[in-house]
Amino acid sequence: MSARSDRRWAELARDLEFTRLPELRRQAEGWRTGLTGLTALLAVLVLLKGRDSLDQLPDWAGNTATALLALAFLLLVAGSLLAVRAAHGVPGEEILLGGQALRRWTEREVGRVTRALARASGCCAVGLVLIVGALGLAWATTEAAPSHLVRVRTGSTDLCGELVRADQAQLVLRTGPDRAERTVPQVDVAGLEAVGSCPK
Amino acid sequence: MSSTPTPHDHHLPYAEADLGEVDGASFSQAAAPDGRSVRVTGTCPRCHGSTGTEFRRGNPGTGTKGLFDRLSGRSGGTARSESEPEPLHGEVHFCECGHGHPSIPAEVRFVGCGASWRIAP
Repeated sequence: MSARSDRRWAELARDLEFTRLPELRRQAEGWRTGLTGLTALLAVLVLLKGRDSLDQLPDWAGNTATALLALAFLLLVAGSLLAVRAAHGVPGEEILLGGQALRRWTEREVGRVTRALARASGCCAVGLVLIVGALGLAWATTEAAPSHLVRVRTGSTDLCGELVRADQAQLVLRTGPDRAERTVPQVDVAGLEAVGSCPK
Repeated sequence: MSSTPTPHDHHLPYAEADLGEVDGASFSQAAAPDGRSVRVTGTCPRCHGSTGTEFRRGNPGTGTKGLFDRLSGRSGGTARSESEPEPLHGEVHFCECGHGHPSIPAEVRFVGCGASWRIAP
């Protein structure tokens, strides 16, 4: 280390004595911005999106997609926090403000920021891959929504399901999660109406 | 027979001279009572003026500490960073005798004769 470099580090350390408060304020502003963005993301995902889109999947696919999304969400949150830490650090660490102490701290800090950024990008990349996997699973396994839904009232009960066919003798409906076909004699039908959806 | 201390040479021109490692017999360090700073005092090996430098504790910048650093109790606070050497032997010292030596630039952080040195352990 040259004498000129030593002098420059010492001058930097001396200047830091006069910028401690602005530096802390800048750090706080960075954290505020990062955490505000993260809070908005949480609010959108948890409060607005909900789990409606997973309801049409078979149970195993729904559970797998939910697990993938939860893991992706955790990784994205961790990645965001790591990126904020890399950019703005964590308040609290203090050193004796001497040129050589500052130089040693800077060398350590470069390594820490580099590692934090690498971990942040890794978390975000894996999180995005998991989200794509969950979406692919959902697209591949989502069952087509039944059309021609009707509710049939009989004397004893109501049936709701997809109308398969009807003739003078009977109605055939596909009902329930297993989509089993059920036959209702026409003589038992007390009412028939089209509906948008059937109760689960 | 005791040697007479060399008087402060006020007429020595300012020069950014690196004196290398010097004997630390005339230097000492003392921590402030509140632990917020350490003061290193002694005699400048070049101009022989009485010099003193205060090293204050402070946030070096926007630092990061890993989770494992925190779990192992090395999370900063007012504690010194891990294995940080004492300023007496770990720092490069600059003459701060306070005297504006001839030819001293207008904007210098260390007001003295311009000499710098390390103190031998």
